[in-house]
This record gives sequence, structure tokens and C-alpha cells, in this order.
Amino acid sequence: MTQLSIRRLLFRWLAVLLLLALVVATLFGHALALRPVTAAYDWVLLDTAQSLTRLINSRPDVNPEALSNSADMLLRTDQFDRIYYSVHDRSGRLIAGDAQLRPPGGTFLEAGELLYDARLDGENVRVAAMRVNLRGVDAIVQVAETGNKRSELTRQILTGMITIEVMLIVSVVVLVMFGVGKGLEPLEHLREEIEARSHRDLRPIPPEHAPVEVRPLLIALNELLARLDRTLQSQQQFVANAAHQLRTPLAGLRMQVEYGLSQSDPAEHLRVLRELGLSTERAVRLANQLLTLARAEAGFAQADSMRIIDLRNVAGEAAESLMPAAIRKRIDLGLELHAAPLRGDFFLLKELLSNLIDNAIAYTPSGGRITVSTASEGGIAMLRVEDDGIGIPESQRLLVFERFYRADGTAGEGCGLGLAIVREIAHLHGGKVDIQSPARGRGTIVSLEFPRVA
Amino acid sequence: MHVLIVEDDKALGDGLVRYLQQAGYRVELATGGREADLLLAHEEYDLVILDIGLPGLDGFEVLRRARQRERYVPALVLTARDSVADRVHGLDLGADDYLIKPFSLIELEARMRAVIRRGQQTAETQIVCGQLSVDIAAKRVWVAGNPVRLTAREWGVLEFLVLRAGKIVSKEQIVSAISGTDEELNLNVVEVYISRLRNKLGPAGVKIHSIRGFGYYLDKTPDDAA
Repeated sequence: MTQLSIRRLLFRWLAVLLLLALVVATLFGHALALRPVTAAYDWVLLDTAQSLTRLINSRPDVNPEALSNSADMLLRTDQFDRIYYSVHDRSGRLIAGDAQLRPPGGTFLEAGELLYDARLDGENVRVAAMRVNLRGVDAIVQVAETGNKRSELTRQILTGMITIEVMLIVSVVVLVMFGVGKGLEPLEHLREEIEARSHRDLRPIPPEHAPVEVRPLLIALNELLARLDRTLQSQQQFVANAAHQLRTPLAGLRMQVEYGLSQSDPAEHLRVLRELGLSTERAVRLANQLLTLARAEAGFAQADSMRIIDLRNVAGEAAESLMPAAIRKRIDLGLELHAAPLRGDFFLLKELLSNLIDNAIAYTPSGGRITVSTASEGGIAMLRVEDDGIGIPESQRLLVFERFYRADGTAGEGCGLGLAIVREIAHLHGGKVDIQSPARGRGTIVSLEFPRVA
Repeated sequence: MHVLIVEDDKALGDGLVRYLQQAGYRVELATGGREADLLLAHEEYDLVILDIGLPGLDGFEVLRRARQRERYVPALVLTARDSVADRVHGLDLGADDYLIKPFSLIELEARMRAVIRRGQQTAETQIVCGQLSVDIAAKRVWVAGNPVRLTAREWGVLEFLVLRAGKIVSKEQIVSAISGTDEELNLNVVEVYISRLRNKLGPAGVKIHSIRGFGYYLDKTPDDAA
């Protein structure tokens, strides 16, 4: 398949239609031009028949031989065509002339003149027949002529017309090409303008100078550019933040290593190694969180990883993997899991849940309670993680979803990405996240709602 | 146990070699794909630990070649990329298991044992969970080395928990596991058995954790942080 090109389409349609019109016009013109030519020759032929009649009438007798001589003088002067003539009486008897040229039709010509085509001696001829009175004798005079002059003229006319037609076709093609090019010039300018742009230039393309037809296209393109610009900016921000954040645990590692190498006490070495272990854990966790966030943000859940799953199973697996941590901290991690089908990516949703439960464990003191519940109401899958921990002040409930945001007084291992990941993954699934406080007592309730499964 | 480690990162390779040597393995280290391919072609190993991002031949290619040879070497793949596509690709090529970097040495050794065991086609009937050890085949239980007598039902519940140590288990699952076809057991019965098991096993530190609203959880490797 060839590529779709407006230029080619325009050119093809214009050229084909124009050429068609030209051919039709030429055919008509040809027919129109031929008609008077034929008529002129026919008149001449009739004239000849009349002259012949006058010639016969002017002579004292109808002596065939003498007549032949004078008729020959009159008629056989054409250098292009052969001329035949004949004179028949009413009964069809040949009075004079060429016997091959028979009277027309079976019936005798009633009156006046007749022009018709016939074949004589193997040649096409044009015949003029005329009913006349030859000294009281009712007779038919016929003159026939081969078509050489006529075809020569026809040929000349045709040649002339075809020459003109070819010239017209050539100029039509050239003009159409030129016209199409002219018409598409604004698009060409637009292309040049876009081509000349740097890949970093995501400013909108001014639609004012563009033709009306491409303006909607430009506006859509500008919207895409704007979205791309926002994404790019947030990516850059993200990369800068990420690099910055990665430095912190790495700085810790480096410091501990240098300190450890400078010590000679084995007990101190052991302590440094434990610190190194903790710093490493933090770096690992940060790297994993960053990756998850980047992936969720890139809309990594492609159509094929989105399938109907039960949030209850996701919650079960996430809780299972965090059970040891909850047990270590003597936290009562309860599950109230009911079927909650939704369309989603299992791994990303598990990541979401792990982050929520992990947060709850981190911010709930030993002996506290965490409850993870899933349910479905009217086809809407719902998820809740409730704890009786330190809670999140109302003023910070929007901020905590920002990347790298860490609430006051939460100096700890968190890197401030957990809830950003939660929000990103929830949005990817078309879900809503909300933070509330329990009706009584302290703590946090994070609740999510996902769209109905279509 | 003869183990080939294929890893181009010096710190990681070196650490692995030292740790596994101390754990009693015979270890060789290859730092490139071609070297690994050559070693796998001529030496016999019980396990290969294979990094994917290698200079020369990459890990996938080394694995593909290894799988074309007659002798089967169990392979544990290490990768820093954890996209589902990568995992599937590795398993399709015949990796027995994979670990995502960074991983802990304890995790690695557990996976190594599982892969080697699978290669030797022997099922483990002796299960150890901290102080608790259970012989599934003989249906016997020891706590801190002392045998414990259990009723058939108690054994059924414990076996179910032990086989799923490290997993959350719902009461419904336990009921359907221990009830025969002709009887119906109440969910409350599970609580009774669990409480009896706790009485019998608890004093030695074996803990069956309750999950409120759901069921129970037996820690796989209980570390007594308490």
C-alpha cells in the first residue's frame, strides 16, 4: 500500500476528472467539426449532378457517346477522387454513364434529391441522386465520388484537434501540479516550522497562521505537546529528586565504611557492619520504591497486564508478606476480606497495598491494631487500611501524597515515596484515595475506591 | 555441592564466593559469559547461579546453550531487571528459579537448596520451624527436640499450618483440610484445636499467630525479637 498523500489524492482526482472532461469535449468537437465539412462536399456533389443535368438538357440529343465525352470533361477533373455518374430512366434502364452506379433503393426516387453512401468497385462512395426531367423523359441523374478528399480533410481536422488536445493535457497536468503545490504550501510551511524545532522545544505551535482545515489538528497537537511538557518536567523533577535522595543512604554507607576501616576494635567493626546493613536496606528500599513509582507513572500496566482480579487476593498476599514485620512489632494485623473484583494489574496493586500496610506498621506503636478490609459495593471495589497509630494531621493529608514528602516528626526509614506510589497506582486504575481519621480515638484510615468493572 | 557462580560484579561475586564457601559449598566463579559457557560445557556442577547482564554472552544465551546440552544443571538466575517479561523469558529458557537484585544471602541459600533438591527429585519430609520440627511422613512432632503427642485432628491442623508456614491460612481452609467427606465441622472447632496446639507447643516458643477476622499464621523462620 502506498502512503496516503493529500498532494497525490488532489492531483489524481483533479487530473483524472479534467482529462475525462477534455476527452469528452474533444469527441464532441470532432463530431461538430466534421458535420459542415461533409455538408460542403455534399453540396458540391449535388451541384455536379445539377451541372450534369444542365449539360444533358443543353445538348440536341441524348447521344450516349457524345454525352460521355462531355460529361467526362465536366466530371473527371478531380485529381483526388474518382467520379462516377449515371442517368437512368424511370424503368431503371441506363441512359448514359457508368452501369455500376445503380439507382438508389428498389423504389424510384419520388422527387428532389437524395444523398447516400454506397460501395462501388470495392470502394466507399458518396452518391448524390436527383430526379430530373430530361426533355420530357423522367430520369434519375446520379453522381458518385470516392471519399479520398473527405477522409483527407477528416484526418487533417483530427490531427489538428489531437495536437491541441495533447497540448491541453500537458498544460492541465502541469497546471494542476502547480495549483496543488500552491494549495498545499501552508502545510509545507507548517512542516518546515515543526521540523526546524529543537526536540526540547515543546511550546505550542501558533494555530493562527495555519489554514482553517488543519487548525483542529494543530490544537490537538498542542494539547499533546502540553501534556508531554508537563510529563517531561515532572520526570526531570523526579530524576533530580531521586538522585538527591539516593545520595543520602549512599553517603551513610560511605561514612560507615570509612569509619569502620579506621577502627581496630572488632566490636566496633560489628556495630559498623550492622549500620551498613541498615543503610543498605534503606538504599534497596528506596531503589525499589523509585522503580515502582516510575513504572506506575509510565502507565506501565499495559492493557495485557490489566485483567479482572480480586482485590481480596491481592490484599491477602500483601498482608502475608508483611505479617512477619507486624508480628515483630507485636501489631495485631487483622483482615476482613470480602470479594472485590476489579480490573487491574496484580503486581502494582499488591505494591499499593504493601505500601499502605507497611506505612501503617511503621506509624503504629507496638501493641496497636491494623485492619485491612476489602469489599465490593454495587460493583465498586473498595479497600481500607485502618490503624490506631499516630495519625496524619488534617493539614498534611494532601501533602503526604507528594513525592519525597515526609511528615513532621517522622524521622525514620521512610523515603516519602510510599503514598506517592499509592496515589500513582490508584490513578492508573482510575481509583480514588482518601485519608480520614477514625470516628473515635486516633489513627488513620486510608480508603480507596475503584471504578466499576465494565 | 559443586556450584558455579557467574557474576561480573566484583563485590557481589566475591561476596557470594566467600559466603558459600563458608557454608560448605565447592564454588567456582566465572566473570564473563564465554568463560561460563566453557566451564558449563566441560565441568559438572550441581547448580549454576547465573547473572543475566554479563559481558560477552549474556546470561540468557549462556542458559540457552546450557539447556541444549545433555546434562541438566539446575540454574538460579540473578537479575536486576524485574519486569514480568524478563522473568518469563528466563523461566522459558529453562531457569529453575530467579532472584531479583539486591537479595539477601539467607534468601539465596534457601532458593539454592530448593532448586538443588528439585533437581534431585527428593521431597523433604522433615520440616523445621524454629523450635518445632515435624516429620510429615511419620506424622511425628518434636518441640525443642522433645517428642509431642498429638491427636489425629490436632496433627491435621498442625500439618496444614506447617506445610504453609509463612503463609496466611484461613479458618475455612483448615476446616476443609481436616474434615472428612461425611462430617461437617464448625469454624469454632478450629479455634479449639489451635488453642490445644498452642498449649502443647507454646511453652517451647512455637507461636501460632492469630489473624483477626481471617485465620492463622505460622512464622517460617521465627526470630525471637521478643
